[in-house]
Amino acid sequence: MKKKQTIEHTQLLVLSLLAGEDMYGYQMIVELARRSDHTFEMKEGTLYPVLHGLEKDGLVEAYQQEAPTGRMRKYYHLTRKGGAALKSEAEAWESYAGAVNAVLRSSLNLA
Amino acid sequence: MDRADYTARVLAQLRHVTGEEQAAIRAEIDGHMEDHICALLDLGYDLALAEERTLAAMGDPAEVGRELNKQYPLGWLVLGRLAAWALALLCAAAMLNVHGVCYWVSDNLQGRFCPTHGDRRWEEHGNLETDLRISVGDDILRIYGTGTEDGTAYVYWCQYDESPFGKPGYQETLKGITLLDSRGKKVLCIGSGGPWMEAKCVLQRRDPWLVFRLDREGERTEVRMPLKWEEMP
Repeated sequence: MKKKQTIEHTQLLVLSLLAGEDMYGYQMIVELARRSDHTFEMKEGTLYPVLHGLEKDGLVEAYQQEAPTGRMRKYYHLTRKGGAALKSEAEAWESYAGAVNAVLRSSLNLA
Repeated sequence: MDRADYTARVLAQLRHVTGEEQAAIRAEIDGHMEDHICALLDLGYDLALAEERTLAAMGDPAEVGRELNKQYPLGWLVLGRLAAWALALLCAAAMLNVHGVCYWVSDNLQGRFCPTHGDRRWEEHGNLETDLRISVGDDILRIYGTGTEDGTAYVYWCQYDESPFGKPGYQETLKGITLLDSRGKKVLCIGSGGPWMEAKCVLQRRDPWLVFRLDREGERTEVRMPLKWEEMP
């Protein structure tokens, strides 16, 4: 593995979602479930500690935008630093997943 | 448990957030639940069931609150408040400094070009304009007039910085000033003012002049200041 994974998988998924477009919390939950074919169905409240941590680290930034109902929604936007982190962590993840797959394949061949 | 209870339980776990942060978190979590409920209502759920499903999907509020609390450590709160205080102090200091600079610019320009302008003390007792200047480091001490009245002489001077933006160091200069009568005898004076001084000197006779002596850094400078007395009847 080229590099040790330094951020949690949930954070990586959130950064990945925001790479396409700015999103608000509930939209991220729905999108994550849809893209993972409902494999990732996290407890929705736990998304916010992740988002606030990413914001504190400067990987995402938030802004308010009015929803169709007139209520203000908090949108999250991937920063340049967040984009760089996503790229780096995605590469590390690919490497990690490749290594796990290689081990699994060798084990299956032995069986 | 309803939406409000859920949010309150989350917020109860937050120890180090400001009121503003707490309000933002409340609005965000409540907004999330509203979005989820609206989505379920669109699917045909009734309101009570939609709310129940939403609360179940949110997870344990205490756990969510504890995790959120980790994102707001005490150090950040203290640092934020210290930074706010430091900023406020810096702004206050900057404003005071700007005020001070404006004050000095005005004094420096007036001392250089029109020292008697608007000087009520001069208007009351002064009767002879002078233009005697002594260099005091970067400053100029300018004796701009004298006055006389019933055996009393008045001397008017100011100190300005040669740079319009400089602060004149008049307080140091004051310590080295002595006034002498025309026989070289030290005169008892009462002075008042800051960079703009009026000295009131009680004389034993109608001296035709006074001597302004300045001792500074081992050097002595003396200038003679003429006095104009009214004719005796």
